Amino acid sequence: MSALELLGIAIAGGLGATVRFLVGVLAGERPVRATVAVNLAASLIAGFCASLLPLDETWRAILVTGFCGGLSTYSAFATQAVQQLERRRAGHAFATIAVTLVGGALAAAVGLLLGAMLVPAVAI
Amino acid sequence: MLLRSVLAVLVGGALGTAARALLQEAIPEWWLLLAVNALGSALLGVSVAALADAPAWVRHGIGAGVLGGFTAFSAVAVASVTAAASTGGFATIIPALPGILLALGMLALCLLAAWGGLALGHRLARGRAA
Repeated sequence: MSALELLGIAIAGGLGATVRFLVGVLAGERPVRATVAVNLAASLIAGFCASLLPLDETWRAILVTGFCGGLSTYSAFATQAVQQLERRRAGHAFATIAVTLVGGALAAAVGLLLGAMLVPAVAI
Repeated sequence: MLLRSVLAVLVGGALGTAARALLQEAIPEWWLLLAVNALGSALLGVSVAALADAPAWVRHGIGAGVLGGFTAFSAVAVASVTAAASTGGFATIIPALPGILLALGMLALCLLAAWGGLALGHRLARGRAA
């Protein structure tokens, strides 16, 4: 990884984190929903960029490791789920976890599929 | 006030993401993401509880910025889908098993880390108040 590539990944990560923060500001009193939404969106985009064949490897790292990594978060997801449990809202915590894990895997799978379908390997 | 938080998140997110990318290159192991997400979850737990009285831009810069950028959910989601039956054993009977185990292992570890971090942060905050 060159210094320029690291800089690109860092800037993309900063932008992703800013988008995540602003989605949280828009969500207001519902921060958990904002976290779920950005995590699912980032999983979809990451899956798409990971399987999009003609994408340059440097740009793939900038988009997947940088932007999608910055847009998504595991720390806020884990902390919010634990806080829901501590407030004795086990149902809410279970829903947060189930929607995030199952939805995230589905979103990533759809993204991987779309990226592979857009440019089939045989066309190259 | 919001602008200050946005700038703190932008800079913090860039630093957290760069740290994750550098670690990933230095230690290209499958468990690195597990360690990064668990460490980030523990530190966010500590900072949420211990920095409750800090200025908003500091909380946002460290929480949503540095630690949010450091940890990543998208990489877990993609890895849990692409970790197909290449490991042998039970994975050849249930191809989705490695991915499911990765997702559940990550979840258990990070929930424990966040819980421990929150408990430690509350203790730190109480110790300072006393």
